[in-house]
Amino acid sequence: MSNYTHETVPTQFVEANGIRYAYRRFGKTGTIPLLFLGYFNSNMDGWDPDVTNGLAAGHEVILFDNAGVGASGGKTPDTVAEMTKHCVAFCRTLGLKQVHVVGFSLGGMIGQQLALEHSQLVGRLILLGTGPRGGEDMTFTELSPEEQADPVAFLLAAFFSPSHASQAAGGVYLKRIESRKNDRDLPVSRDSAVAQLAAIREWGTIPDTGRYATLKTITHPTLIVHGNKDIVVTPINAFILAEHLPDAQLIMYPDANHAAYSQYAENFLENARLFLNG
Amino acid sequence: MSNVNLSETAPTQFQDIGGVRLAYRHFGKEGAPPVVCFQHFTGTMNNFDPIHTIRLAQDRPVILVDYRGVGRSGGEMLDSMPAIAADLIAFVKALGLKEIDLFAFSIGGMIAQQFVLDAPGLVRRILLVGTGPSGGEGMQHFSREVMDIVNRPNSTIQGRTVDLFFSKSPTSYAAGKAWLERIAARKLDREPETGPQVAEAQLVALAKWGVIPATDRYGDLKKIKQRTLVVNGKDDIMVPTINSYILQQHLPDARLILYPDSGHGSHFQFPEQFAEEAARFFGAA
Repeated sequence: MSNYTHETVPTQFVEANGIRYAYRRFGKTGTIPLLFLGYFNSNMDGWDPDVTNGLAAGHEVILFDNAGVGASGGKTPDTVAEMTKHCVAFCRTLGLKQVHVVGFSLGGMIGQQLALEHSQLVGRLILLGTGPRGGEDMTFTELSPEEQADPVAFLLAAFFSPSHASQAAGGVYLKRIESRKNDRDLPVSRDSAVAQLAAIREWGTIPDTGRYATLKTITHPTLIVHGNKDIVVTPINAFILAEHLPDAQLIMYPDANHAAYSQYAENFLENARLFLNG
Repeated sequence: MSNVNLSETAPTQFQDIGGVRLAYRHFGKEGAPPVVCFQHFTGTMNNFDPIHTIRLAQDRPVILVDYRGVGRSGGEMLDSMPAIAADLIAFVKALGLKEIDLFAFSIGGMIAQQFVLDAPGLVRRILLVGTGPSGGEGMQHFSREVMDIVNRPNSTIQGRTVDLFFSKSPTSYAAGKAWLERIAARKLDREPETGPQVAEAQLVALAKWGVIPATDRYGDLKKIKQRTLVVNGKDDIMVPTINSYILQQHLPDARLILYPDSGHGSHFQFPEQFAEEAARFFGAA
Protein backbone atom coordinates (compact mmCIF):
# COMPACT_ATOMS: atom_id res chain seq x y z
CA MET A 1 0.00 0.00 0.00
CA SER A 2 1.55 3.30 -1.06
CA ASN A 3 0.83 6.24 1.17
CA TYR A 4 0.01 8.49 -1.74
CA THR A 5 -3.44 9.93 -2.27
CA HIS A 6 -5.17 11.70 -5.12
CA GLU A 7 -3.80 14.92 -3.65
CA THR A 8 -0.18 13.85 -3.17
CA VAL A 9 0.65 11.27 -5.81
CA PRO A 10 3.27 12.58 -8.24
CA THR A 11 2.55 12.68 -11.95
CA GLN A 12 4.66 10.15 -13.81
CA PHE A 13 5.34 9.62 -17.49
CA VAL A 14 5.76 6.55 -19.65
CA GLU A 15 6.67 6.47 -23.32
CA ALA A 16 5.19 4.21 -25.98
CA ASN A 17 5.45 4.56 -29.76
CA GLY A 18 7.05 7.96 -29.34
CA ILE A 19 4.26 9.35 -27.17
CA ARG A 20 4.80 10.34 -23.58
CA TYR A 21 1.72 9.56 -21.51
CA ALA A 22 1.08 11.30 -18.18
CA TYR A 23 -0.38 9.20 -15.39
CA ARG A 24 -0.74 8.95 -11.64
CA ARG A 25 -0.73 5.67 -9.78
CA PHE A 26 -1.62 5.11 -6.14
CA GLY A 27 -3.71 2.93 -3.86
CA LYS A 28 -3.52 -0.70 -2.83
CA THR A 29 -0.77 -2.51 -4.69
CA GLY A 30 -1.08 -6.16 -5.70
CA THR A 31 -4.64 -5.67 -6.92
CA ILE A 32 -6.13 -5.39 -10.39
CA PRO A 33 -5.74 -1.67 -11.06
CA LEU A 34 -8.65 0.61 -11.81
CA LEU A 35 -7.93 2.57 -14.98
CA PHE A 36 -9.80 5.88 -14.83
CA LEU A 37 -10.76 7.32 -18.22
CA GLY A 38 -12.09 10.86 -17.98
CA TYR A 39 -14.77 12.96 -19.63
CA PHE A 40 -14.66 15.35 -22.57
CA ASN A 41 -12.27 18.25 -22.09
CA SER A 42 -10.96 16.96 -18.75
CA ASN A 43 -7.58 15.93 -17.41
CA MET A 44 -6.49 13.89 -14.39
CA ASP A 45 -7.53 16.71 -12.05
CA GLY A 46 -11.17 16.33 -13.13
CA TRP A 47 -11.81 13.22 -11.06
CA ASP A 48 -13.62 13.52 -7.75
CA PRO A 49 -10.97 12.80 -5.08
CA ASP A 50 -13.60 11.32 -2.75
CA VAL A 51 -14.15 8.62 -5.35
CA THR A 52 -10.55 8.01 -6.38
CA ASN A 53 -9.34 7.98 -2.78
CA GLY A 54 -12.35 5.93 -1.74
CA LEU A 55 -11.63 3.24 -4.29
CA ALA A 56 -7.86 3.40 -3.68
CA ALA A 57 -8.41 1.75 -0.29
CA GLY A 58 -9.22 -1.51 -2.05
CA HIS A 59 -7.57 -1.16 -5.44
CA GLU A 60 -4.69 0.41 -7.21
CA VAL A 61 -5.89 3.54 -9.01
CA ILE A 62 -4.39 4.75 -12.27
CA LEU A 63 -5.38 8.15 -13.61
CA PHE A 64 -4.31 8.70 -17.19
CA ASP A 65 -4.30 11.45 -19.81
CA ASN A 66 -4.94 10.09 -23.30
CA ALA A 67 -2.77 11.28 -26.18
CA GLY A 68 -2.74 15.04 -26.55
CA VAL A 69 -4.68 15.57 -23.31
CA GLY A 70 -3.30 17.60 -20.39
CA ALA A 71 0.33 16.75 -19.74
CA SER A 72 0.43 13.85 -22.21
CA GLY A 73 2.26 14.29 -25.50
CA GLY A 74 1.05 13.43 -28.97
CA LYS A 75 -2.07 14.50 -30.76
CA THR A 76 -5.61 13.75 -29.60
CA PRO A 77 -7.26 11.49 -32.16
CA ASP A 78 -10.76 12.25 -33.39
CA THR A 79 -12.29 8.79 -32.90
CA VAL A 80 -12.99 6.68 -29.83
CA ALA A 81 -11.36 3.71 -31.57
CA GLU A 82 -8.05 5.58 -31.94
CA MET A 83 -8.20 6.77 -28.33
CA THR A 84 -8.69 3.15 -27.34
CA LYS A 85 -5.46 2.19 -29.11
CA HIS A 86 -3.59 4.69 -26.97
CA CYS A 87 -5.08 3.11 -23.84
CA VAL A 88 -3.85 -0.28 -24.97
CA ALA A 89 -0.36 1.03 -25.70
CA PHE A 90 -0.26 2.72 -22.31
CA CYS A 91 -1.37 -0.43 -20.45
CA ARG A 92 1.09 -2.66 -22.33
CA THR A 93 3.99 -0.33 -21.63
CA LEU A 94 3.18 -0.38 -17.94
CA GLY A 95 3.00 -4.17 -18.14
CA LEU A 96 -0.63 -4.27 -17.02
CA LYS A 97 -2.19 -7.64 -17.82
CA GLN A 98 -5.67 -6.62 -16.76
CA VAL A 99 -7.43 -3.51 -15.56
CA HIS A 100 -10.91 -2.65 -14.39
CA VAL A 101 -12.07 0.43 -16.26
CA VAL A 102 -13.81 3.36 -14.60
CA GLY A 103 -14.97 5.42 -17.57
CA PHE A 104 -16.91 8.67 -17.30
CA SER A 105 -18.78 9.95 -20.36
CA LEU A 106 -16.20 9.88 -23.21
CA GLY A 107 -14.13 7.63 -20.93
CA GLY A 108 -17.04 5.19 -20.76
CA MET A 109 -17.15 5.06 -24.54
CA ILE A 110 -13.46 4.22 -24.64
CA GLY A 111 -14.09 1.66 -21.91
CA GLN A 112 -16.73 -0.08 -24.04
CA GLN A 113 -14.44 -0.07 -27.08
CA LEU A 114 -11.57 -1.42 -24.99
CA ALA A 115 -13.74 -4.26 -23.67
CA LEU A 116 -14.96 -5.01 -27.19
CA GLU A 117 -11.57 -5.09 -28.89
CA HIS A 118 -9.29 -6.14 -26.04
CA SER A 119 -11.56 -8.32 -24.01
CA GLN A 120 -8.76 -9.94 -21.99
CA LEU A 121 -7.30 -6.63 -20.91
CA VAL A 122 -10.53 -5.60 -19.20
CA GLY A 123 -11.82 -7.28 -16.05
CA ARG A 124 -14.82 -5.21 -15.06
CA LEU A 125 -16.37 -2.05 -16.39
CA ILE A 126 -17.79 0.86 -14.42
CA LEU A 127 -19.60 3.17 -16.83
CA LEU A 128 -20.51 6.62 -15.51
CA GLY A 129 -22.77 8.98 -17.43
CA THR A 130 -22.14 7.36 -20.76
CA GLY A 131 -24.00 5.74 -23.61
CA PRO A 132 -23.74 3.09 -26.29
CA ARG A 133 -22.42 3.70 -29.78
CA GLY A 134 -25.26 5.29 -31.74
CA GLY A 135 -27.36 5.93 -28.63
CA GLU A 136 -30.28 8.32 -28.23
CA ASP A 137 -29.69 12.06 -28.62
CA MET A 138 -25.94 11.68 -28.60
CA THR A 139 -25.29 14.56 -30.98
CA PHE A 140 -23.16 16.67 -28.62
CA THR A 141 -23.33 20.29 -29.65
CA GLU A 142 -20.28 22.50 -29.57
CA LEU A 143 -19.78 24.45 -26.35
CA SER A 144 -21.08 28.01 -26.73
CA PRO A 145 -18.69 30.96 -26.30
CA GLU A 146 -20.36 31.65 -22.93
CA GLU A 147 -19.78 28.05 -21.81
CA GLN A 148 -16.16 28.22 -22.90
CA ALA A 149 -15.71 31.58 -21.14
CA ASP A 150 -17.10 30.40 -17.79
CA PRO A 151 -16.10 26.78 -17.18
CA VAL A 152 -17.33 26.81 -13.58
CA ALA A 153 -20.85 27.88 -14.55
CA PHE A 154 -20.74 25.34 -17.37
CA LEU A 155 -19.75 22.50 -15.02
CA LEU A 156 -22.47 23.38 -12.53
CA ALA A 157 -25.08 23.43 -15.32
CA ALA A 158 -23.94 20.27 -17.11
CA PHE A 159 -22.90 18.11 -14.16
CA PHE A 160 -25.53 19.00 -11.55
CA SER A 161 -29.28 19.50 -11.69
CA PRO A 162 -30.83 22.93 -11.09
CA SER A 163 -32.10 21.96 -7.62
CA HIS A 164 -30.62 23.55 -4.54
CA ALA A 165 -29.36 20.18 -3.28
CA SER A 166 -27.65 19.27 -6.52
CA GLN A 167 -26.08 22.72 -6.98
CA ALA A 168 -24.79 22.50 -3.41
CA ALA A 169 -23.23 19.13 -4.27
CA GLY A 170 -21.69 20.84 -7.29
CA GLY A 171 -20.14 23.51 -5.14
CA VAL A 172 -18.57 20.89 -2.89
CA TYR A 173 -17.35 18.96 -5.92
CA LEU A 174 -15.65 22.06 -7.31
CA LYS A 175 -13.82 22.53 -4.00
CA ARG A 176 -12.82 18.88 -3.87
CA ILE A 177 -11.27 18.86 -7.33
CA GLU A 178 -9.12 21.81 -6.21
CA SER A 179 -7.87 19.90 -3.17
CA ARG A 180 -4.75 18.77 -5.02
CA LYS A 181 -2.50 21.80 -4.71
CA ASN A 182 0.82 20.78 -6.24
CA ASP A 183 1.78 19.20 -9.53
CA ARG A 184 -1.56 19.99 -11.14
CA ASP A 185 -2.17 18.70 -14.62
CA LEU A 186 -1.89 20.93 -17.70
CA PRO A 187 -5.12 22.31 -19.16
CA VAL A 188 -6.75 20.61 -22.13
CA SER A 189 -5.84 22.44 -25.31
CA ARG A 190 -8.40 23.74 -27.74
CA ASP A 191 -7.12 21.32 -30.42
CA SER A 192 -7.57 18.38 -28.07
CA ALA A 193 -11.12 19.45 -27.17
CA VAL A 194 -12.05 19.84 -30.84
CA ALA A 195 -10.76 16.34 -31.61
CA GLN A 196 -12.62 14.88 -28.58
CA LEU A 197 -15.85 16.52 -29.68
CA ALA A 198 -15.45 14.94 -33.11
CA ALA A 199 -14.82 11.58 -31.43
CA ILE A 200 -17.95 11.63 -29.26
CA ARG A 201 -20.05 12.80 -32.21
CA GLU A 202 -18.74 9.98 -34.34
CA TRP A 203 -19.52 7.57 -31.47
CA GLY A 204 -23.04 9.00 -31.25
CA THR A 205 -23.79 8.47 -34.94
CA ILE A 206 -26.57 5.94 -35.37
CA PRO A 207 -25.40 3.08 -37.60
CA ASP A 208 -27.51 2.00 -40.57
CA THR A 209 -27.79 -1.56 -39.27
CA GLY A 210 -27.13 -3.49 -36.10
CA ARG A 211 -27.66 -0.63 -33.66
CA TYR A 212 -26.52 -1.88 -30.21
CA ALA A 213 -25.50 -5.26 -31.68
CA THR A 214 -21.93 -5.04 -30.41
CA LEU A 215 -23.10 -4.60 -26.82
CA LYS A 216 -24.07 -8.26 -26.67
CA THR A 217 -20.46 -9.24 -27.11
CA ILE A 218 -19.26 -7.20 -24.11
CA THR A 219 -19.70 -9.92 -21.53
CA HIS A 220 -17.68 -8.23 -18.78
CA PRO A 221 -19.45 -7.59 -15.51
CA THR A 222 -20.52 -3.97 -15.74
CA LEU A 223 -21.83 -1.37 -13.32
CA ILE A 224 -23.68 1.52 -14.95
CA VAL A 225 -24.23 4.70 -12.95
CA HIS A 226 -26.29 7.57 -14.30
CA GLY A 227 -28.26 10.64 -13.24
CA ASN A 228 -31.96 10.71 -14.01
CA LYS A 229 -31.66 14.26 -15.33
CA ASP A 230 -28.45 13.89 -17.31
CA ILE A 231 -28.58 16.54 -20.04
CA VAL A 232 -25.25 15.53 -21.60
CA VAL A 233 -25.97 11.83 -22.14
CA THR A 234 -29.71 11.38 -21.69
CA PRO A 235 -30.69 8.73 -19.12
CA ILE A 236 -32.42 6.39 -21.57
CA ASN A 237 -28.91 5.55 -22.81
CA ALA A 238 -28.06 4.02 -19.46
CA PHE A 239 -31.20 1.92 -19.65
CA ILE A 240 -30.28 0.82 -23.18
CA LEU A 241 -26.83 -0.20 -21.97
CA ALA A 242 -28.35 -2.18 -19.09
CA GLU A 243 -30.79 -3.95 -21.39
CA HIS A 244 -28.26 -4.86 -24.10
CA LEU A 245 -25.10 -5.61 -22.15
CA PRO A 246 -25.25 -9.24 -21.01
CA ASP A 247 -24.06 -8.65 -17.44
CA ALA A 248 -24.74 -5.10 -16.35
CA GLN A 249 -26.22 -3.62 -13.20
CA LEU A 250 -27.72 -0.14 -13.46
CA ILE A 251 -27.99 2.42 -10.70
CA MET A 252 -29.82 5.63 -11.58
CA TYR A 253 -29.82 8.44 -9.03
CA PRO A 254 -32.56 11.04 -8.60
CA ASP A 255 -32.17 14.78 -9.01
CA ALA A 256 -28.80 14.17 -10.62
CA ASN A 257 -27.17 15.24 -13.85
CA HIS A 258 -23.96 14.14 -15.60
CA ALA A 259 -21.89 13.89 -12.39
CA ALA A 260 -24.30 11.61 -10.52
CA TYR A 261 -21.35 9.47 -9.40
CA SER A 262 -19.97 12.46 -7.52
CA GLN A 263 -23.27 13.76 -6.14
CA TYR A 264 -23.95 10.30 -4.68
CA ALA A 265 -20.31 9.46 -4.00
CA GLU A 266 -21.00 7.62 -0.74
CA ASN A 267 -23.67 5.31 -2.16
CA PHE A 268 -21.71 4.89 -5.39
CA LEU A 269 -18.61 3.84 -3.45
CA GLU A 270 -20.59 1.25 -1.47
CA ASN A 271 -21.94 -0.24 -4.68
CA ALA A 272 -18.66 0.00 -6.57
CA ARG A 273 -16.83 -1.87 -3.79
CA LEU A 274 -19.46 -4.58 -3.75
CA PHE A 275 -19.31 -4.82 -7.53
CA LEU A 276 -15.51 -4.95 -7.71
CA ASN A 277 -15.34 -7.63 -5.04
CA GLY A 278 -18.22 -9.63 -6.52
CA MET B 1 -31.98 -10.76 19.49
CA SER B 2 -32.32 -13.62 17.08
CA ASN B 3 -34.05 -12.39 13.97
CA VAL B 4 -33.66 -15.73 12.26
CA ASN B 5 -35.97 -17.20 14.86
CA LEU B 6 -38.33 -14.25 14.55
CA SER B 7 -38.62 -14.66 10.80
CA GLU B 8 -39.32 -18.35 11.20
CA THR B 9 -41.32 -18.20 14.40
CA ALA B 10 -43.20 -14.91 14.57
CA PRO B 11 -46.78 -16.15 14.82
CA THR B 12 -49.44 -15.22 12.33
CA GLN B 13 -51.78 -12.73 13.96
CA PHE B 14 -55.07 -11.23 12.86
CA GLN B 15 -56.31 -7.64 12.73
CA ASP B 16 -59.95 -6.76 12.26
CA ILE B 17 -60.43 -3.91 9.78
CA GLY B 18 -64.20 -3.76 10.01
CA GLY B 19 -65.99 -6.91 9.03
CA VAL B 20 -62.94 -8.79 7.90
CA ARG B 21 -59.71 -9.98 9.50
CA LEU B 22 -56.34 -9.63 7.77
CA ALA B 23 -53.59 -12.10 8.63
CA TYR B 24 -50.20 -10.59 9.42
CA ARG B 25 -46.86 -11.20 11.11
CA HIS B 26 -44.93 -8.60 13.03
CA PHE B 27 -41.30 -8.93 14.14
CA GLY B 28 -38.02 -7.03 14.34
CA LYS B 29 -36.43 -4.19 16.27
CA GLU B 30 -38.86 -1.64 17.62
CA GLY B 31 -38.21 2.08 17.44
CA ALA B 32 -37.99 2.96 13.76
CA PRO B 33 -41.01 3.27 11.45
CA PRO B 34 -42.17 -0.25 10.56
CA VAL B 35 -41.79 -1.49 7.01
CA VAL B 36 -45.05 -2.99 5.79
CA CYS B 37 -44.61 -5.55 3.02
CA PHE B 38 -47.09 -6.16 0.17
CA GLN B 39 -46.92 -9.41 -1.76
CA HIS B 40 -46.87 -10.37 -5.45
CA PHE B 41 -49.61 -11.77 -7.72
CA THR B 42 -51.31 -14.74 -5.99
CA GLY B 43 -48.59 -14.88 -3.32
CA THR B 44 -49.00 -15.21 0.44
CA MET B 45 -46.76 -14.19 3.33
CA ASN B 46 -44.99 -17.52 2.83
CA ASN B 47 -43.15 -16.08 -0.16
CA PHE B 48 -41.29 -13.21 1.51
CA ASP B 49 -37.58 -13.90 1.34
CA PRO B 50 -36.19 -14.42 4.86
CA ILE B 51 -32.87 -12.90 3.77
CA HIS B 52 -34.70 -9.62 3.16
CA THR B 53 -36.95 -9.67 6.18
CA ILE B 54 -34.20 -10.76 8.59
CA ARG B 55 -31.91 -7.98 7.40
CA LEU B 56 -34.61 -5.31 7.59
CA ALA B 57 -35.75 -6.58 10.99
CA GLN B 58 -32.31 -5.85 12.43
CA ASP B 59 -33.12 -2.14 12.18
CA ARG B 60 -36.90 -1.83 12.25
CA PRO B 61 -40.17 -3.67 12.73
CA VAL B 62 -41.22 -5.73 9.73
CA ILE B 63 -44.92 -6.34 9.11
CA LEU B 64 -46.00 -8.91 6.54
CA VAL B 65 -49.67 -8.87 5.60
CA ASP B 66 -51.96 -10.90 3.36
CA TYR B 67 -54.63 -9.11 1.33
CA ARG B 68 -58.29 -9.84 1.93
CA GLY B 69 -58.98 -13.33 0.55
CA VAL B 70 -55.29 -14.35 0.54
CA GLY B 71 -53.83 -16.97 2.88
CA ARG B 72 -55.78 -16.90 6.13
CA SER B 73 -57.09 -13.36 5.65
CA GLY B 74 -60.89 -13.39 5.59
CA GLY B 75 -63.21 -12.52 2.74
CA GLU B 76 -62.58 -12.62 -0.96
CA MET B 77 -59.86 -10.89 -2.98
CA LEU B 78 -60.95 -7.44 -4.18
CA ASP B 79 -60.59 -6.52 -7.82
CA SER B 80 -59.24 -2.95 -7.90
CA MET B 81 -56.12 -1.27 -6.53
CA PRO B 82 -58.08 1.48 -4.73
CA ALA B 83 -60.22 -1.12 -2.92
CA ILE B 84 -57.22 -3.24 -1.94
CA ALA B 85 -55.29 -0.14 -0.84
CA ALA B 86 -58.28 0.98 1.27
CA ASP B 87 -58.10 -2.32 3.16
CA LEU B 88 -54.43 -1.84 3.85
CA ILE B 89 -54.83 1.79 4.92
CA ALA B 90 -57.49 0.57 7.36
CA PHE B 91 -55.12 -2.17 8.49
CA VAL B 92 -52.26 0.24 9.19
CA LYS B 93 -54.59 2.59 11.05
CA ALA B 94 -56.11 -0.27 13.04
CA LEU B 95 -52.62 -1.23 14.20
CA GLY B 96 -52.27 2.33 15.49
CA LEU B 97 -49.31 3.12 13.22
CA LYS B 98 -48.70 6.77 12.38
CA GLU B 99 -45.79 6.46 9.95
CA ILE B 100 -44.65 3.46 7.92
CA ASP B 101 -42.34 2.49 5.10
CA LEU B 102 -43.58 0.25 2.29
CA PHE B 103 -41.73 -2.64 0.64
CA ALA B 104 -43.89 -3.87 -2.19
CA PHE B 105 -43.39 -6.37 -4.98
CA SER B 106 -45.23 -6.66 -8.30
CA ILE B 107 -48.98 -6.12 -7.81
CA GLY B 108 -48.01 -5.12 -4.29
CA GLY B 109 -46.08 -2.22 -5.78
CA MET B 110 -49.16 -1.01 -7.58
CA ILE B 111 -51.18 -1.26 -4.37
CA ALA B 112 -48.39 0.65 -2.63
CA GLN B 113 -48.56 3.50 -5.16
CA GLN B 114 -52.32 3.67 -4.66
CA PHE B 115 -51.83 3.53 -0.88
CA VAL B 116 -49.49 6.54 -0.99
CA LEU B 117 -51.80 8.51 -3.27
CA ASP B 118 -54.72 7.87 -0.93
CA ALA B 119 -52.91 8.18 2.41
CA PRO B 120 -49.76 10.21 1.75
CA GLY B 121 -49.38 11.22 5.39
CA LEU B 122 -48.87 7.64 6.56
CA VAL B 123 -45.89 6.81 4.37
CA ARG B 124 -42.26 7.82 4.79
CA ARG B 125 -40.35 5.74 2.18
CA ILE B 126 -41.31 3.32 -0.58
CA LEU B 127 -39.37 0.38 -1.98
CA LEU B 128 -40.94 -0.85 -5.23
CA VAL B 129 -39.76 -4.08 -6.86
CA GLY B 130 -40.84 -5.53 -10.22
CA THR B 131 -43.72 -3.15 -10.69
CA GLY B 132 -45.00 -0.34 -12.84
CA PRO B 133 -47.13 2.78 -12.98
CA SER B 134 -50.82 2.85 -13.77
CA GLY B 135 -51.16 2.85 -17.55
CA GLY B 136 -47.58 1.69 -18.04
CA GLU B 137 -46.11 -0.09 -21.04
CA GLY B 138 -47.66 -3.47 -21.77
CA MET B 139 -49.51 -3.58 -18.46
CA GLN B 140 -53.13 -4.02 -19.57
CA HIS B 141 -52.65 -7.76 -19.60
CA PHE B 142 -49.93 -10.33 -19.13
CA SER B 143 -48.07 -11.37 -22.26
CA ARG B 144 -48.75 -14.65 -24.02
CA GLU B 145 -45.46 -15.96 -22.63
CA VAL B 146 -46.61 -15.26 -19.07
CA MET B 147 -50.12 -16.69 -19.54
CA ASP B 148 -48.66 -19.86 -21.07
CA ILE B 149 -46.62 -20.35 -17.91
CA VAL B 150 -49.56 -19.47 -15.63
CA ASN B 151 -51.84 -21.95 -17.41
CA ARG B 152 -49.25 -24.66 -18.01
CA PRO B 153 -50.86 -28.06 -17.42
CA ASN B 154 -49.38 -30.51 -14.93
CA SER B 155 -47.12 -27.88 -13.38
CA THR B 156 -46.49 -27.00 -9.76
CA ILE B 157 -46.90 -23.51 -8.37
CA GLN B 158 -43.22 -23.60 -7.44
CA GLY B 159 -42.17 -24.48 -10.98
CA ARG B 160 -44.40 -21.83 -12.50
CA THR B 161 -43.19 -19.19 -10.06
CA VAL B 162 -39.54 -19.84 -10.87
CA ASP B 163 -40.29 -19.51 -14.59
CA LEU B 164 -42.21 -16.28 -14.03
CA PHE B 165 -39.76 -14.63 -11.62
CA PHE B 166 -36.36 -15.67 -12.95
CA SER B 167 -34.69 -15.36 -16.33
CA LYS B 168 -33.84 -18.28 -18.56
CA SER B 169 -30.15 -18.49 -17.67
CA PRO B 170 -28.85 -21.39 -15.55
CA THR B 171 -27.65 -18.99 -12.85
CA SER B 172 -31.03 -17.32 -12.60
CA TYR B 173 -32.83 -20.67 -12.51
CA ALA B 174 -30.51 -21.89 -9.76
CA ALA B 175 -31.22 -18.69 -7.82
CA GLY B 176 -34.92 -19.45 -8.18
CA LYS B 177 -34.46 -22.89 -6.68
CA ALA B 178 -32.48 -21.42 -3.79
CA TRP B 179 -35.26 -18.91 -3.12
CA LEU B 180 -37.83 -21.73 -3.04
CA GLU B 181 -35.74 -23.47 -0.39
CA ARG B 182 -35.46 -20.30 1.68
CA ILE B 183 -39.19 -19.64 1.69
CA ALA B 184 -39.86 -23.26 2.65
CA ALA B 185 -37.67 -22.97 5.75
CA ARG B 186 -40.46 -21.66 7.96
CA LYS B 187 -42.55 -24.59 9.16
CA LEU B 188 -44.85 -22.83 11.60
CA ASP B 189 -48.20 -21.34 10.59
CA ARG B 190 -47.76 -21.74 6.85
CA GLU B 191 -50.47 -19.96 4.95
CA PRO B 192 -52.73 -21.94 2.62
CA GLU B 193 -51.94 -21.35 -1.05
CA THR B 194 -54.32 -19.06 -2.86
CA GLY B 195 -57.16 -20.40 -4.97
CA PRO B 196 -58.53 -19.33 -8.35
CA GLN B 197 -60.68 -16.50 -6.97
CA VAL B 198 -57.57 -14.60 -5.90
CA ALA B 199 -55.93 -14.93 -9.32
CA GLU B 200 -59.13 -13.92 -11.12
CA ALA B 201 -59.73 -10.84 -8.97
CA GLN B 202 -56.07 -9.78 -9.15
CA LEU B 203 -56.10 -10.12 -12.95
CA VAL B 204 -59.12 -7.80 -13.05
CA ALA B 205 -57.34 -5.33 -10.78
CA LEU B 206 -54.21 -5.50 -12.94
CA ALA B 207 -56.23 -4.90 -16.11
CA LYS B 208 -57.84 -1.80 -14.59
CA TRP B 209 -54.47 -0.53 -13.39
CA GLY B 210 -52.98 -1.06 -16.84
CA VAL B 211 -55.49 1.09 -18.72
CA ILE B 212 -53.71 3.99 -20.36
CA PRO B 213 -55.53 7.23 -19.45
CA ALA B 214 -56.58 9.58 -22.24
CA THR B 215 -54.56 12.45 -20.79
CA ASP B 216 -51.70 13.02 -18.34
CA ARG B 217 -50.52 9.42 -18.54
CA TYR B 218 -48.12 9.43 -15.60
CA GLY B 219 -49.50 12.48 -13.82
CA ASP B 220 -50.23 10.63 -10.57
CA LEU B 221 -46.57 9.77 -10.11
CA LYS B 222 -45.67 13.43 -9.62
CA LYS B 223 -47.88 13.44 -6.52
CA ILE B 224 -45.80 10.76 -4.82
CA LYS B 225 -43.22 12.89 -3.05
CA GLN B 226 -41.85 10.16 -0.80
CA ARG B 227 -38.31 9.00 -1.38
CA THR B 228 -38.55 5.83 -3.44
CA LEU B 229 -36.24 3.03 -4.51
CA VAL B 230 -37.27 1.17 -7.67
CA VAL B 231 -35.70 -2.24 -8.32
CA ASN B 232 -36.10 -4.74 -11.13
CA GLY B 233 -34.31 -7.33 -13.22
CA LYS B 234 -33.37 -6.43 -16.77
CA ASP B 235 -35.65 -9.10 -18.27
CA ASP B 236 -38.93 -8.88 -16.36
CA ILE B 237 -41.62 -10.70 -18.36
CA MET B 238 -44.43 -10.00 -15.88
CA VAL B 239 -44.12 -6.22 -15.65
CA PRO B 240 -41.84 -5.17 -18.53
CA THR B 241 -38.65 -3.59 -17.20
CA ILE B 242 -39.15 -0.31 -19.06
CA ASN B 243 -41.85 0.43 -16.48
CA SER B 244 -39.23 0.62 -13.75
CA TYR B 245 -37.41 3.23 -15.82
CA ILE B 246 -40.68 5.13 -16.33
CA LEU B 247 -41.35 5.09 -12.58
CA GLN B 248 -37.90 6.46 -11.88
CA GLN B 249 -38.20 9.20 -14.49
CA HIS B 250 -41.60 10.41 -13.29
CA LEU B 251 -41.46 9.97 -9.52
CA PRO B 252 -40.00 13.15 -8.01
CA ASP B 253 -37.45 11.42 -5.77
CA ALA B 254 -36.72 7.91 -6.96
CA ARG B 255 -33.58 5.89 -7.38
CA LEU B 256 -33.47 2.94 -9.79
CA ILE B 257 -31.49 -0.29 -9.60
CA LEU B 258 -31.64 -2.85 -12.41
CA TYR B 259 -29.92 -6.17 -11.83
CA PRO B 260 -28.34 -8.26 -14.61
CA ASP B 261 -29.30 -11.79 -15.66
CA SER B 262 -32.62 -11.57 -13.85
CA GLY B 263 -36.32 -11.03 -14.16
CA HIS B 264 -39.29 -10.08 -12.00
CA GLY B 265 -37.70 -11.60 -8.88
CA SER B 266 -34.29 -9.93 -9.18
CA HIS B 267 -34.34 -9.19 -5.46
CA PHE B 268 -34.54 -12.93 -4.80
CA GLN B 269 -31.64 -13.56 -7.16
CA PHE B 270 -29.34 -11.03 -5.44
CA PRO B 271 -30.84 -11.32 -1.97
CA GLU B 272 -27.95 -10.13 0.20
CA GLN B 273 -26.99 -7.26 -2.06
CA PHE B 274 -30.61 -6.18 -2.35
CA ALA B 275 -31.18 -6.48 1.40
CA GLU B 276 -28.16 -4.31 2.17
CA GLU B 277 -29.28 -1.67 -0.31
CA ALA B 278 -32.81 -1.79 1.10
CA ALA B 279 -31.48 -1.42 4.66
CA ARG B 280 -29.37 1.56 3.57
CA PHE B 281 -32.36 3.07 1.80
CA PHE B 282 -34.67 2.79 4.79
CA GLY B 283 -31.94 3.67 7.26
CA ALA B 284 -30.35 6.70 5.64
CA ALA B 285 -31.20 10.09 7.08
